[in-house]
Amino acid sequence: MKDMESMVFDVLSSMGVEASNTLLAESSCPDELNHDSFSSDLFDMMGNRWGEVFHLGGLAGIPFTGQAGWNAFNHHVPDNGNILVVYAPHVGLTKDGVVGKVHRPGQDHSTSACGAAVGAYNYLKNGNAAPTPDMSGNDFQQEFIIQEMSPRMERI
Amino acid sequence: MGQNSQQSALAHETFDIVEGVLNDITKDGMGWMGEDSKLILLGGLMINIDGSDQDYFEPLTFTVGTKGNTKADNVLPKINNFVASGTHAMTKALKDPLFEHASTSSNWKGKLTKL
Repeated sequence: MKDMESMVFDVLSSMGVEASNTLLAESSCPDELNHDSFSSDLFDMMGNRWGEVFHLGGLAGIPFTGQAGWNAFNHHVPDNGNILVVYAPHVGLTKDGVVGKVHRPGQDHSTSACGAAVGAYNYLKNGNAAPTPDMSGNDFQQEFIIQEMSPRMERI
Repeated sequence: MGQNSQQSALAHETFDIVEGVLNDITKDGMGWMGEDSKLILLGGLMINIDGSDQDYFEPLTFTVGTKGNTKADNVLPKINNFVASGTHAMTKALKDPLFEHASTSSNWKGKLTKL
């Protein structure tokens, strides 16, 4: 991962994009898997390189902070400076080659990654209708994912 | 479609959702840009590997936008060339067709290192 992070930095620094004139934002799933190594996770390495990080993401890495979050973030940019946004939903891969699963430390079984995306997929696959996201409810993000995934099921 | 292909497709559809929302947000909020400002978008799939193995990033989008330009420059080839060079063999190996292969392999790591 360090090679990838270094390559991205080299490309951007050749354009004059440096930590001193750039703010970093990331949109990743809150799953701890995405931030479990400061030395080898891309998000963490980029945070170390570029400095402060504005977090845009919610479940599945969708930037649920929305327009308000983006506008708050971009007001922090240095004058005439740049924004670098790194976004990546995640997917597990076990040592046995099973995609969509990962074996987490201390557990004797594999679990889904990304759990939110897999959960939405399973919900729809089981014949449930996509709900209209309930702004007053406690599960808005997951309902949004299910709604967005619904028209895509035929391609999965 | 096999289980691994389904999960791979699910990950890519999720990426499309993420990118769609992000594009909607950023295109309506460009007032921050100065004459020399750049908006860099680096997107892809984060592949979480079991245990202590490090994760891998599969880049899918790498663009640089500037003020007033409706179409951002695509700089993805600058890192995809790097990936294709084999330096980042795991990322190369985890492209979709090999996801299916991985499910039939009892030791996919050993096989992937031969690619």
